[in-house]
Amino acid sequence: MSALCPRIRTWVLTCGLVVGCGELGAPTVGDDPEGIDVGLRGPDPVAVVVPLRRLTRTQLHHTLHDLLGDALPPSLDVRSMLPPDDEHGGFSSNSTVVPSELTVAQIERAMEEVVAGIPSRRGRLDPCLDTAEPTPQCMNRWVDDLAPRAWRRPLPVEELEALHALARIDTLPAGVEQDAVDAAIERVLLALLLSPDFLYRLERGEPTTDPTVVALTSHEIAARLSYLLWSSMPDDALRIDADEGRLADPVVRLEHFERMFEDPRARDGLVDFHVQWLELSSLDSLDKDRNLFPTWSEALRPLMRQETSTFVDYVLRHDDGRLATLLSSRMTFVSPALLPWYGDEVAEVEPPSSLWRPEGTVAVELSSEQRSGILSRIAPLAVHAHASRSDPVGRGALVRRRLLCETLATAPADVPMGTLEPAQGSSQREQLERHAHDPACAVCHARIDPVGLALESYDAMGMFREEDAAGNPVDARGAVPDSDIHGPVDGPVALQRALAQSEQVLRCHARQWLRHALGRAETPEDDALVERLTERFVASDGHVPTLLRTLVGSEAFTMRRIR
Amino acid sequence: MNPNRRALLRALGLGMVAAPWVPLLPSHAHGDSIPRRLLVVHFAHGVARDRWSPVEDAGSLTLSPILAPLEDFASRITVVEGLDNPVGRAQVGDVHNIATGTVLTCTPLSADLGAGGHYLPGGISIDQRLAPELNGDDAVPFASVQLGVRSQGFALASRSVDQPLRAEDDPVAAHGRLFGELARPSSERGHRAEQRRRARDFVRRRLDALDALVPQGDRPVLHAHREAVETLQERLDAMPSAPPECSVPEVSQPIDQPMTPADVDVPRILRLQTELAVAALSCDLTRVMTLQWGSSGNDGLRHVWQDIDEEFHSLAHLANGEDAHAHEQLARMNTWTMEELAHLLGRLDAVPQGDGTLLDYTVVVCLSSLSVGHHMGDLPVVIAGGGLTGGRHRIHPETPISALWTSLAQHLGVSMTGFGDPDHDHGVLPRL
Repeated sequence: MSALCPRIRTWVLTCGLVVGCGELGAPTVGDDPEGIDVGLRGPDPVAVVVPLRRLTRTQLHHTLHDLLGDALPPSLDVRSMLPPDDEHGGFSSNSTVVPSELTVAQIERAMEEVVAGIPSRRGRLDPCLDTAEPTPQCMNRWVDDLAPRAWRRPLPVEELEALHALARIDTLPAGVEQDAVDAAIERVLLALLLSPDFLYRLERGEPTTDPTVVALTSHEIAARLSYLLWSSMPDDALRIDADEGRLADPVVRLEHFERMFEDPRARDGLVDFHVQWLELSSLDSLDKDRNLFPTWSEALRPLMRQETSTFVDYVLRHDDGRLATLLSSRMTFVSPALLPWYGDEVAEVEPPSSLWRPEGTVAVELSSEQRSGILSRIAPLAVHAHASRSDPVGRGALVRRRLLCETLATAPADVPMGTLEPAQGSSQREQLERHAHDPACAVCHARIDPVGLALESYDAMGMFREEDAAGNPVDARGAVPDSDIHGPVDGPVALQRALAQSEQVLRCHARQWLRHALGRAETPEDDALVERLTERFVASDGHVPTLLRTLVGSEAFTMRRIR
Repeated sequence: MNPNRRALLRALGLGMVAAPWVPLLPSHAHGDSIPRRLLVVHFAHGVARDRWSPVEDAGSLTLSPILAPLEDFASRITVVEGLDNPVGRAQVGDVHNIATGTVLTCTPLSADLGAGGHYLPGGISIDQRLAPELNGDDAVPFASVQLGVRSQGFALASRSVDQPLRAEDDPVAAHGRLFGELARPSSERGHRAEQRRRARDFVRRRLDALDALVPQGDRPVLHAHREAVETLQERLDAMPSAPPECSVPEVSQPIDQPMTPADVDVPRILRLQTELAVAALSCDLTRVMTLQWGSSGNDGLRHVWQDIDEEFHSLAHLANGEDAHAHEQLARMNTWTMEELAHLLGRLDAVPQGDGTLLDYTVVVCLSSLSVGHHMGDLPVVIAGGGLTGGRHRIHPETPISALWTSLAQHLGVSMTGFGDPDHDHGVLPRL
């Protein structure tokens, strides 16, 4: 235990003197000594509880593709084979429910399916396997290379030997169709991929002077970095520094941060956060009323997802990286098939050359009268709507939950609620006004409805409209009561501009990232960390890379409080 | 694909012709007595109340419009009204989570973690409580089975506090889990089993090795994982080696996004899950099952196959009030659910068992954990089979549903005097 204390002290010193965070828009190391020393001001280092997490569907998807490369068909969607994730604090973490037999069986089945496709591509695992009878040396070499990447740490010799035993090419009984080499490869892959060392983000750490805190190993820190930024496994550069034990040093971590944030995989990490943040995962099963939307088709779903992903990547990695821009930018990158949903008032513009975007998409600037930021994009608007009509309550609740960090109860059981199609002379606004008359409804809906009503200018598909389906003129006046947005907001653009300028929204956003990073909702014990991240985020004017850099550079990022 | 599988695929895929069922493990597995089973069927969002109640008349029921599809079983079902979920009503939080997560446990959720089925149950559910009793000393491969249709993580059953048992929503996966090993040719089967055994042995050793190395707080997760791997392996070992006598249904049509199927695919998946459930019971692969028909949450499902374009969930909120249209639509959707129940009962009744049918040895409870407007009182409940007297209409106003579970347990020969939260436990239902 004592061996570790000097390292922590050195750390303090290093941190205070040398390392810092870049200013807005300038992702460089070393120009702000205040940026990263989360927790070092107080008497004790800030270590927070991090639950044991099983990799989420998205993380497993990216990890398997990174691990197995082109031995997997690039289009293979591992996500759809896996059971749903458990959430905590509104983000997938698989940390709350102990695995049931069904979950384990479902994971087994998914991995068997993934592995089953490999034999025809086994030469792509290692060129020496591309023969009818690979040598034992070849098999073992492949194992020795794959295992430390799969388990995100070096393996002691006895663990490798156990894998070598599985890699032995045994003669199979008569009547078995499978090739003996394929069977050996399958055994190794199943053993590696079904082991807890792969499926869980194990953080064993090393003891510190505080028995309730462990200091993560460099390899464990590498995984925290890669899953936060890429939703995938560490790459070779991280592994090399982890092998050297260098990742406890914040300077080294921040160098990796800059590199990783530039890497195309950062898009995957950012998209993973934003899809969860705006509750967009149901996009995959989105359906609309074809009578009202005759051009709706399921083929639009992936295009909607792509648009959101490209927009997020654009703002955070190619524009100024600020939350306010995410909530106010009018740039978007869409497939021509989606363009009609944005109406006529769009102007084609030159996209930034560095931005990757799916083939065939066009860069456009949307109407300043109609659109502002991510909340006015098709995907969030269509997901947070019913099949045939908009959903002001759902949209309002989304803003309160995800942008203002409020916990909302669902409607009480005994209250009749909901509205159906707007009727002539009775818009959804008028129907919602009934909430005001019943105190049981009013207590929550006075907060929710005015927010959602400001988004009434968008129909169930997210199209801008002046009239609802029944011909009632749209009245999109709203407000954000009980917040730092005072007074009325007139329409969706005003609402989103107000949200973009709200400090409350900024503060909430830092919490949302922390929930995602920790795999749980925050508790009062996390106050010091929350406060430091929030202050830093507010001071940077909502610069998301600065927020992430602060987290990555913090001591909390290298520690784990255990129970 | 072997010819037998192909024939069954035809049977299931093209209109689901009734197939003969032969028990997989004939009497030798359970001596001379025929095992008793429990099947709980849950449907979402309650009923159009004024079209639900039947009228009892001389040992049979005059059925209501919603219950009309159960005509063939009018003298064999009992409709119980008035049952209440006081535990759920007392808890504050997400109504859908609470209703689904407490109706079989009769204990408050231990944690309500967010809309959409994210919760931890507060105790063991009745099906799990009865499973060891119904299985007895027999080698039943599955202690219990949970199947769903777009149930999306809402767990009805629970092993114990904090251990929800979710349903398998994918019939192809369910089929593989229940019957996959039985359906392989024997040479291939031995090889597959050996491959799995070696991977699982390896995984178990890893879990054991890690146990001493991870912080204490991480161990329960790894223990549960180890237990799950162990159970899977024991089952594989226990699978009979001879080709089974019972008919194994085949489900191999590609189902797009089985975890979140399109609305229009829901009826087909529901029928497939029904078929798998009946087969698993008839083959004595399990004696305790739950079937979850539809998400308990607000998942946007529309009964498009009934030409209903509004969402089930919204309609259920609006029905039973002044909105006559919504009420009518909810009644139609309820009627469809009862058609599916009638189909299920019919399939159980087509399997010969002793001097009766499988239905005679299976207590079927079909209920919704919500009633009018998402209320957790006066729950709609239909019970059938299992040797219970039918043709009855029972009203037990404001009686906790735990009384139903205790009564059914007693009927199944399990001596229980109460179930769930003792503060809300009211013993048994008289004259069940």
